[in-house]
Amino acid sequence: MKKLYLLVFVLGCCFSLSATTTNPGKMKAKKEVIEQELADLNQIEKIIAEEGLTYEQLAAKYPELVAKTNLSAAASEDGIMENASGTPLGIGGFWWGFCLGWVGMLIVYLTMDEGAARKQQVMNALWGCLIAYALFFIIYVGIVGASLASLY
Amino acid sequence: MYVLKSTIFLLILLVFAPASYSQKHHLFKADFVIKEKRTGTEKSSLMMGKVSYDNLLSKSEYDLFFPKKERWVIQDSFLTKYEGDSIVSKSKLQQVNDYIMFKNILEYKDNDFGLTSAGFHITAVEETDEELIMEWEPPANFQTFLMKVVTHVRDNLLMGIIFIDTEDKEISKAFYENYEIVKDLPVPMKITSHFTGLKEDLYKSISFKNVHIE
Repeated sequence: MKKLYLLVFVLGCCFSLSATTTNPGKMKAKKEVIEQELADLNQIEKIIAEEGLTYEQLAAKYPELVAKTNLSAAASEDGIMENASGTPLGIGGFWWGFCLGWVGMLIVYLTMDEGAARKQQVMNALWGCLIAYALFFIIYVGIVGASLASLY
Repeated sequence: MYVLKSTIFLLILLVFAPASYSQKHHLFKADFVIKEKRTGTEKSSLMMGKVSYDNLLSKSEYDLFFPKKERWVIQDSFLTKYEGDSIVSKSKLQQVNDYIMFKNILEYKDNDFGLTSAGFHITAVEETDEELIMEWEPPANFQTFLMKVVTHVRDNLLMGIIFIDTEDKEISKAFYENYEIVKDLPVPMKITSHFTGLKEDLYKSISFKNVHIE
């Protein structure tokens, strides 16, 4: 009997874990696409490292390269922030609240560091939560209303 | 008696080991280069300098030398920009991604990007030599906007991760490479990523040199 259970378990594992749709080669190709997009910036990085130029000197000596890349003259904090990645799994607080309700709010609260960013994301999760409940209520009222209307 | 002592020792180890491990390292310093290209506006940026991040103070400092000499200090979600000793500006930040990145490096725990603990489970695996490709199915509530996640692990180190939405579109991907072991921690010296937005695509690369960890 134990062997039968074991066989069922092994077969279950075999069927549940199918082949992946990607492989290391495909992953490498995807990475190379990013490298190609950043090729001009790589060239600028190399020039700055070798020649020690400031932005103004770079723009004067290599105007075509600066124009081609539309290179910003000022550093932007965008470079150290991106798409709500400071939130759990890079998913914004709103969606955590919308999909998981109060559990989502709790996840955002527990996984983020204390500070204004966490407060903001917990508020977003609260709004997600409230909107999800409101939508549920509207749909529920609509269905009940339609059912009652069909009765009379 | 020996079994009892061993069990107690093991329990103490299990309870306190993660905490002591996470407190083992608190400071990350490195030379950095951040490159960014946005397709919608066709704008790009390049930032070069030195960075230091203190996990205990939740504070990071950037000493930039390109595009211009500036010093940025980020603490308590506020960014203060200095030129010399003078404050140029002070602004509030919504999300600071680097905190998460530096924190993950200093508190290295696993190679699954936290997917297991978030309730994702493996649906497909492909193993070749020491490389592993895994597909993860999100928990039911994520399935409204996320179809699956793919991770690439080599030598037990995370090499890449791709998030795929319900329309089979890759919305976010990141690749970690050139790992170096610094103070027993595997540090990816280069991270490249690609975010697909509604109006624009963002291509980004962060690389480090002279990494110092305390």
